[in-house]
Amino acid sequence: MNRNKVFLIFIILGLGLLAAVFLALITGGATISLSMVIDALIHPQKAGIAHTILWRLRIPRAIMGITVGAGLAGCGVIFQAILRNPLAEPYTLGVSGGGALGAAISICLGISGFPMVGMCFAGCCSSMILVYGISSIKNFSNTVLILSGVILSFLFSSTVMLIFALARTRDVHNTIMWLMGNLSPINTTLINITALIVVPLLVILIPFGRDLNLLSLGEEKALHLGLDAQKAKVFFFIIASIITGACVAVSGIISFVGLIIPHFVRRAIGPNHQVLLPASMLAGAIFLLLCDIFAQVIIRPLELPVGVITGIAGALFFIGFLINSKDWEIM
Amino acid sequence: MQILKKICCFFILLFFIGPYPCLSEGILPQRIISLAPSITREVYALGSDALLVGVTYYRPKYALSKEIVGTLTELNIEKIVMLKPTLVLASKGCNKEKDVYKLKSLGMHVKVFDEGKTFEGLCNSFIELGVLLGKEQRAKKLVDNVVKQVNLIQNSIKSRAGKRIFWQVSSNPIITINNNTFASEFIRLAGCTNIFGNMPNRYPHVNIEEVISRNPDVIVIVADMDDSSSSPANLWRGFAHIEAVKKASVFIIHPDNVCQPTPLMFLEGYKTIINLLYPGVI
Repeated sequence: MNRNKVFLIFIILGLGLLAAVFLALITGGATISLSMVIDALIHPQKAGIAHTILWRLRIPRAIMGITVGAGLAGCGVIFQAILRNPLAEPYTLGVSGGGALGAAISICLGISGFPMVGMCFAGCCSSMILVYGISSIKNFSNTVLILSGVILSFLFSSTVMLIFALARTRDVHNTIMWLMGNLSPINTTLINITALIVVPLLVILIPFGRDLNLLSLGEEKALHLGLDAQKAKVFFFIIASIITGACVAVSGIISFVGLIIPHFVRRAIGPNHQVLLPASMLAGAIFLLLCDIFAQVIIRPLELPVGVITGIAGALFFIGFLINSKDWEIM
Repeated sequence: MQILKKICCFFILLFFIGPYPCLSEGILPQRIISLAPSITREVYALGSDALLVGVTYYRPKYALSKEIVGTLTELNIEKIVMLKPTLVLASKGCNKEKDVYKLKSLGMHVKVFDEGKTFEGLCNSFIELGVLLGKEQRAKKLVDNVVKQVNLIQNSIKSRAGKRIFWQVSSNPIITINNNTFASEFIRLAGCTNIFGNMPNRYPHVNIEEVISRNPDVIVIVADMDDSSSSPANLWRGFAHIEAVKKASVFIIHPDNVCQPTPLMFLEGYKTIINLLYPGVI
């Protein structure tokens, strides 16, 4: 893939992201005219309903969409590379299960806001630590990583079911709604904190594209080419798990973004992770922003959980993609 | 094959004998199981708690000594069978249809009460329960008393201008109610309107932007939390354009106050809400 083409792809993705952000700012749950939005955008110090909606709701929501979309898609690329498995996604290693358990516990205990997000993140981290602990005994082999992640997911989801069986009906309902994922900007500070954790971590990961290339060849080859595969794997695993955990803690479990975006982008630009990783992040941000707009507008003034839209849209696209794909594009 | 036949015969026989004494006209039940917390409260209010042999896990404090037969979602059918009830009281909205069907197929007498969606419906169900338990007079008296008090309060707020209310049952995601719910009766009888009253589903998941542009006078948040630092009311802080925020009319109500569909609890919840909406009336 030559330099010019790469450059072109990033220009397209950058413009796409700008367009998606613009669309996210002018559409939403309430109908505000374009001129009012632009006016509120130009005069941030003014007051008014359009101003409040734009600066306190739509902009934080767009930031959240970009952060979570980029985070999940980027982690998807990383997990697919280090596990060398086309089915891998950010939730494969049980991070989302831990988050769901944290959320279920806090909803049933009547905890909300910051402490709930904290609980949820703690759940994600505990699942990461458990997977790390179990697989460290077996030198972090892919099989053990995947199996321990899958088994932990089962353990956590069964525990959530246990809580459902014992909890009040209204708590169960609230937890299920939370699990479907949504980007509603409940707390602006929280969104800023998440963005400040996730975005720098994503930026740190971008220069490591070459290591991901080596890892995706297999540990032995990576070792011959001068990469300490085990160390690199653990590094990617921990950073990606923290990013995923932060995304899950603020937005719930938004499915499919981390699985399909890497596949789509790989098909468009090839398997070189130096390009694939940042391009997937941009594409993930665009995809999630668009899905979120759709979720808000389709049955306005009601809102759909964005996880439902990403799941349905993603699955339909993906089936078409699988039918038309060549082998190398999938892995 | 012979064995299979024998087993079939045994079950058919079992079906006909039925170890459960069925309730016939005029005979009052001796052993009652309540499958919903609101019904448990009603049985106590009627003074028939001595007959109560089983309740669900989330129960009022005064029913702590009763046997537990599971939660609303997970009933312990075997336990219910063991307690040999002559009458099982269930609620249409709370209990699973599957469970009710199972209990009926086991030969039990199950009375399913309509989910109280209106104040009148609530009172009628209560009287119906009174009739079943042989406490019709007591039930009617209680209901008359509650209706009288509600009417009294309604008269005293007649001259007040109705408010536009946003009723929030969950803050992440934001979920509200439409006019077809029990809680909306509080809004109606307080002479107010629900800003999402005409939504098609009963617990709609609404967009926060829409809440802001509909600009409610009052925001009522149903939540059980004592920790004020993570209060769900924080969500609205800073949206100074909303009338409710401007006038400091964002209230938090404990779910037990407004989610127990019995006439007595309705009165309590109604008083709480009137106190919040029109301080000093009661």
